[in-house]
Amino acid sequence: MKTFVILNTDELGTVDFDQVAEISADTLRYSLDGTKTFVKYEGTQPFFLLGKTEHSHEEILSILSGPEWSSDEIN
Amino acid sequence: MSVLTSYASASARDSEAPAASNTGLCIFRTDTKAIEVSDGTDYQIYNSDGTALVSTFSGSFDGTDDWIGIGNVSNLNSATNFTISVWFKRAAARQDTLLGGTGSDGIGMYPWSDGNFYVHAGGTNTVNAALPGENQWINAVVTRDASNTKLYLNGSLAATATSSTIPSTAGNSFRIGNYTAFSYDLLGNIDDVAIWDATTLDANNISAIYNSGVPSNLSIDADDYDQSSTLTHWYRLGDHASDTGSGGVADGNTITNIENAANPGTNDGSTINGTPSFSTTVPS
Repeated sequence: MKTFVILNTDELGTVDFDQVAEISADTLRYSLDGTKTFVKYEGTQPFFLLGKTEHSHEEILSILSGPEWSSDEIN
Repeated sequence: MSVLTSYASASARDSEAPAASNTGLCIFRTDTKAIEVSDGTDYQIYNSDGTALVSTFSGSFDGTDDWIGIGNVSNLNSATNFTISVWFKRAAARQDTLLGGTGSDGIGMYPWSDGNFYVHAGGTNTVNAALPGENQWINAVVTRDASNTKLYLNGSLAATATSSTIPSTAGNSFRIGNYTAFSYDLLGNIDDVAIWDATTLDANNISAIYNSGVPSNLSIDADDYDQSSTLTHWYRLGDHASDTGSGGVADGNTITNIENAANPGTNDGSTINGTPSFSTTVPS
């Protein structure tokens, strides 16, 4: 099961990309104001994410559809 | 020993053995080297090596940050002529993107929350049309030449616009599951992404690609499809022998590579962000 954790972008230095599903900071998805991002993992929680709020797939989809992450149009 | 009846062309086959009155008939095409079987409506095509061309896997994308990078599709940069085909299915309307390269005015294709399908091809919102519906497989094809950019949905022309200039970076960092310029990733499935990067396919070819809702073999010419020689990129999302997944190619396994079946080793999809996975949900 996938687990998602939202991070402040100033915390990215703590992320070990070998332990999450994303490739690098360059390929992460960011909030519209650029202050937040998220990573996901399967299985055991990586040590550097201990204490962070975890979200399910359904929860992160709901968050990402909100105004902090999605604008109305791209066209 | 029985021998299949052979025909040198589709017209020769249809003249002597039309599909509608020959359900179950199996024939061999000497021009395409394919084995075909009538399903009572059309002839379904099989590989000359006997492998059924039925799509058995697609790619499943979780709507957060799943995508597959295929690198720079350089011939799309500043391109005059090209055609891109993609099959997709999503459960409901939301902000999704299917594929695309660098730049908001580059090349990108996406179904949106308003129930429309949009194509960027050298200018934002270049061409768009209403989707046939949601929660169903849809084949979307964009063609461009010096005059017009056209969008076909399920084999039929849906919209036409005057072509805009294609930027020099339009095909760079090309992704499946995401349009590089935007952070809206597909929640749903994608199958059989194909690019003819210097060729504008006509309506007959696009109708043949749609093939009544079943992806066809783009590597051989058959019926109204005659552009196998100009196909440069073809991603079968689990149905190519060199596709790989974590634990193998199986339903639910994370994709680790999708081969470019048109030119293996060139622009293979081995850059995997997130956890796109193989799925047995396929167009049929």
